[in-house]
Amino acid sequence: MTLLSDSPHDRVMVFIDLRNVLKSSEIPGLDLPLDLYRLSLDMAGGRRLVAAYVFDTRAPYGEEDRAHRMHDRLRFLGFRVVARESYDPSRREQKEVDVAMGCEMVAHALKDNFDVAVVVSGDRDFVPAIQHVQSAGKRVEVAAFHEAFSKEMLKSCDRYRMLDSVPLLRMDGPAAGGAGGDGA
Amino acid sequence: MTGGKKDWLAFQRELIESGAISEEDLDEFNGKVEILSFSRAGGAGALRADFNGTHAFLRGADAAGDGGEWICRLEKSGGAYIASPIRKVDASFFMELKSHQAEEVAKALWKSRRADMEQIIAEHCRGLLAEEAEPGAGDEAESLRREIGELRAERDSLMERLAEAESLRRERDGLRERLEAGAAAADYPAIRSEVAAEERPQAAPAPAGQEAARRVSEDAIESSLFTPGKCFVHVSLDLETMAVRPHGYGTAICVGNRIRLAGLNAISPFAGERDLACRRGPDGAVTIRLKS
Repeated sequence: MTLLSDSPHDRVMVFIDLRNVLKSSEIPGLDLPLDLYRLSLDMAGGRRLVAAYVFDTRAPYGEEDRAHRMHDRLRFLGFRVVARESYDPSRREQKEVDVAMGCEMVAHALKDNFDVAVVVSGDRDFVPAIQHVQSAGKRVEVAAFHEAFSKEMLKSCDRYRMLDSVPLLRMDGPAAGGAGGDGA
Repeated sequence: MTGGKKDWLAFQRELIESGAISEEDLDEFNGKVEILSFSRAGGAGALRADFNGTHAFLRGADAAGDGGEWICRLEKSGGAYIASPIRKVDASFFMELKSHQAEEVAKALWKSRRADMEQIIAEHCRGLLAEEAEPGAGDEAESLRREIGELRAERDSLMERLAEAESLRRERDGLRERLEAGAAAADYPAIRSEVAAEERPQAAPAPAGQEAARRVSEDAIESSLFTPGKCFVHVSLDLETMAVRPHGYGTAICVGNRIRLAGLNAISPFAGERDLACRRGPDGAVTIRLKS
């Protein structure tokens, strides 16, 4: 139940905190990658998807970056991948990523590049950015898996969506490759 | 003439040869000889010319004349000069000049009075051209100018039509390319694609009332709602819902209404064949309830 209604003419921009959403979508023992392509289209619904951002870390320049191929695959699909350099090899600590995502959201809101921002992350670090986006007259929807959803995020957004019941984890045929939408 | 280089002795010889002067008068040339322009101040009084910061007065019978340019010999008298006329420089003088003398004169005049000379020559040429032009040449020229104007207008019109045709041709080619690219991109999954046509189910709608799928083995599900060919299969995190969408880039394959999936038994252990509730959504996706 939501206070606000949708319009098919709304411009939707999706902002995905990749590590947050990948971590919360893992099922131990099962290799079911999260399909970000499917996720973005689902979040847009029948509205016009104007852009989809993915925020992640990358290895420092000169070091081998295992996520580089995944980032490129996402770019190839049309995602705008913003990868901030992280000095933590295991990427347990996300440096600069949250601020980069918050800045991008606010910047686009102030430039009137979208009507609705969909934040795919349950991290409450985004609450100030969400509030600033709302101050610019934009709506903010938050989507995350239940385990990762912060109550502060639930309270700050205009609409939230639990992704646990949405079919987003890809299953392949017995001898299938890895084409199409991509997660980890 | 004053100024410029000249051979005075050669000039004297030429004057003698032309009869303009006799040898007896040569002695008179040993004094200061100049060419001066004489006139009466205020239209009255003696004929005088300006020379060397003072005046030179013409004497003799020619002093009663109108003045003009004279070759004369000068003698200093007090603070002025007395000019004894030798020869008046008029048209006859120039007519008697030899060709090289006339050339020298012409060069000097061109150098000192070019603007006047150009005007005189231009007017003379215009007069000659007007005399030589055929009668009616002006009308013919006007007619030709009109014809040229009409031809230019016609040319401009043709150029515009040509540009328009080229623009239409480019637009047509662009539309063809976009149509072909759109047909090719229909099978390509990309966020940029604004049309979900590639996910539109290709099979005919299932008969009314037949909204069921069936778990037939550990790794297979079948349903008449499935579209033969490649498809994407997604399952929810809570492992309760499955969605099947036909897609050219799908990672699963539907053969004979049956789809085999790796790891299906892990997410939903097989406990014998059973029906599963399913429905086709407005976007063409078949949604299946894995757990009752």
